[in-house]
Amino acid sequence: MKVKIIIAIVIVVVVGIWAFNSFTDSLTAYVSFDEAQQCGARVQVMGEIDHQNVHYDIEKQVLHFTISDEQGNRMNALYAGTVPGNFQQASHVVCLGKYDGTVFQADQLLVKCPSKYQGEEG
Amino acid sequence: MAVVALIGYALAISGRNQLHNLAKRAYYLFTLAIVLASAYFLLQILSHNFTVSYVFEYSSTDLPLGFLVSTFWAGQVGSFLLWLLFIAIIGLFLVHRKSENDIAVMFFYMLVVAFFLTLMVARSPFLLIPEHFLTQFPGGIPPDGRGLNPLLQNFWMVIHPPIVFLGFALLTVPFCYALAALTRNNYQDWVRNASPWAMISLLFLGAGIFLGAYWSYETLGWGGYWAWDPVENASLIPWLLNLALIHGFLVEHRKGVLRRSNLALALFSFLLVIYGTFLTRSGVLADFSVHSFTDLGTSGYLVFFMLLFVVLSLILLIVRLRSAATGRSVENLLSTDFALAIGVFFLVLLALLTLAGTSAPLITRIFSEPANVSRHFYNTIALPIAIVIAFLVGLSPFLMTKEKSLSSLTKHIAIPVILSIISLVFARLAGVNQLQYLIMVFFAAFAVFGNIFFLFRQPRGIGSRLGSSLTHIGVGVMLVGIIVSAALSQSEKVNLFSGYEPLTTLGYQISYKGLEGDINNRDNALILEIDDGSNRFMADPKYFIASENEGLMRKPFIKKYLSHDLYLSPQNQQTVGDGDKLILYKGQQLGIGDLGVRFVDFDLGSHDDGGAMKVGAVLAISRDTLTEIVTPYLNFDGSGKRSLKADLPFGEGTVILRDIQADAGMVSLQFSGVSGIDIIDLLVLEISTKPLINFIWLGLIMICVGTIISYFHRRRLQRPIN
Repeated sequence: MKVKIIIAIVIVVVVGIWAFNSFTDSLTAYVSFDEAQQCGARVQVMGEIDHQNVHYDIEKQVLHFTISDEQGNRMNALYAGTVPGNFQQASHVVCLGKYDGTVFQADQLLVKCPSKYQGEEG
Repeated sequence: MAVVALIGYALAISGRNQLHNLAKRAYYLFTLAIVLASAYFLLQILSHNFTVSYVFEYSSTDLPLGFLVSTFWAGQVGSFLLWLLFIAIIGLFLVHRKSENDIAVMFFYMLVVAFFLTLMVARSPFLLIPEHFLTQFPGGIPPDGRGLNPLLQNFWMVIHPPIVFLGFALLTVPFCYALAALTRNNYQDWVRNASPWAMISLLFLGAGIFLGAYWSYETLGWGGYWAWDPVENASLIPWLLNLALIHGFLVEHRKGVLRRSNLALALFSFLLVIYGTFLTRSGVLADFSVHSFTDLGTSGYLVFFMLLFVVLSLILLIVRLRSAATGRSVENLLSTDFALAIGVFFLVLLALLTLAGTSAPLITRIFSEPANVSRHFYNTIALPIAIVIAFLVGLSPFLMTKEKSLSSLTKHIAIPVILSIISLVFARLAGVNQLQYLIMVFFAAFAVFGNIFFLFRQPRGIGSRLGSSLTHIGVGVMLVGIIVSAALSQSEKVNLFSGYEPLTTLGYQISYKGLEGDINNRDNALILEIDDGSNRFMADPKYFIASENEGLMRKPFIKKYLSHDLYLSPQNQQTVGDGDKLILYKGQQLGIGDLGVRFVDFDLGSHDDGGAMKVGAVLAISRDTLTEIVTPYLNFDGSGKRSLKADLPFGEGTVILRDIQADAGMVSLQFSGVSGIDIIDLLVLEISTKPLINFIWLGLIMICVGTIISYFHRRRLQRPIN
């Protein structure tokens, strides 16, 4: 019996370490624009969409837009995936991605329309 | 509603005494009250009573009957009512049982009911719209409601929530049986009583999750079916624990071990349903998920009851730690029971890891910045666990009957192993490169072939093993579908102009015929003609603006072949030609009259001292084989924008530059003196091929059918398990 328990503990420890590593590696922190720009790692930012400044580049099939945070800082962003349907109506958007030096390259967008039961992928 | 609450509490307390008959009658009354309340609620919806806040928020007069009924569960409050209704009806099956144990079970059951009733009282579905809001409508009655979210106006999304809630409601039963057993320290028959309910829950919740995934694939247009989103995970985690529980029951019944872990599993599958509800409905994850709904004020109650139940469960488990043990253990490493125990362990591991990931924002908030995990995390942890489970699924039938020796085991699994290796080679030849995917294919194939061979080797015919074997084959088939579609899917985004020559990509020749119908009409269709080399067919994905929320909706077109799916998802659609006007993006060419017009580049003129600026569009105009460059300009000066006409070559009319969008690389032109054009649409289309994706649905169907067969098989045997 003792052997089994030891094996079980070893497995649990190994799995635990591996899982913990995967977990912390893939954490995308919610940060401010500043931190996103300095950090360079994959993060999430949220901002208000400036709808005067949204356009879809047909040639490269990329959506360009600008978001601003509560302090009024602005950041340019782009997104190459399937644009969520309610992007035009959304006030705010959460962008997950990396800042590449000039623009925030989002690989995932979560648009927010408050107070409605929404089910949509982005 | 308050009366109902009173009855609930009365029953809870009296359930413990000898007032059994009174309690029973009170329960029937309670159920009746809930049914009536639900019927009344439905009536409000069907009669379009928009003074009721919920009816106003979620329904409208133009909804067909099916969708109108589904608004019952479209919003949070309505869905809680539905859940409560299910719990009430399920309880009817329990309330007539007379044993002391069952009375205890009912006591705990009513505690859960009390929790739901509290939620109902806190946030009643019958809440009326506040006075001051009503004054804006003539007569104080809103003429129409806000309508149902267009994404929910879909067959799959109508049936998915009730099925999931039924699955959740059914988990209440094993929970209460576990609580009763622990409290009374009597474990006789707990397995026998709880397991049928666990199985039914497994079926419904599993089917519900399946429907949700299929809906996502078929309706949303992102090409996927599972995003590891908190709402998805909230239903998956209890399901995985329940699955572990069912297999643990097998072991407990045969060998009498794992009782304590089974009790814990029964408790926690229910508790995690509540926790998942809290995560997704309280708004805690609002910034991390597209699915999360804002807090309705119910989160306080959710937390309170969740903690109450968690504390209760933990205390019971700890207090009974010694006395609940059976004193036996699993001896033989080659036995089915050991394999089952390992399987239980890994299923629980997967559930816990998914739970950790889903709760990441909460956990990290304690330490520093709230952060979320990416999909990558879930895919990384799920794959190795799935490999182990596939291995066990393939191996377990051979361990099933008697404890075999190693050599006879190897003899039996030889052929499945060989077939699995062949599958592996096929996968490699088809292009699957990553090592972990190949390993997964091998073990998934092993699960399939192992079970098929086992099934046909049965001396007594396949009947007794059909249910579990079919389910396990389904698991293997599904895993193959998941891995191959993930590894070998290809995707391209193309720009298609209506009425122009076909474009060839990914082995398909596609031409876009135009938008049929209005962009504001949900019955519109983007008409495409596709040639796949042997067949020519029309495709009609949709792209429209929904009136309910002014949102842009897309619906993909899917053509199912045996070996793969062709998936077309419109990304963007724009009219770029109409009458005498053209919109061109840099590098693109369209025709007007008998001229070809290509937008080459901008000509950013100079500023002069007056602050005026000239911008031009360099156009290459061609007719037949001749091409000439023409550059119309826009003058920006103090008095605004002025277009300077430019003459078209070949003696035709003139062109002016109406507008530019420098960032987008777009110009808007207007021609005169040339014959006009019909509408030209530009469609940005994402085309994908997804090999073997239908294996996923096939596998899931097999799992559901196998579960049903298993359930009836167990019942027919009259014996509890096995």
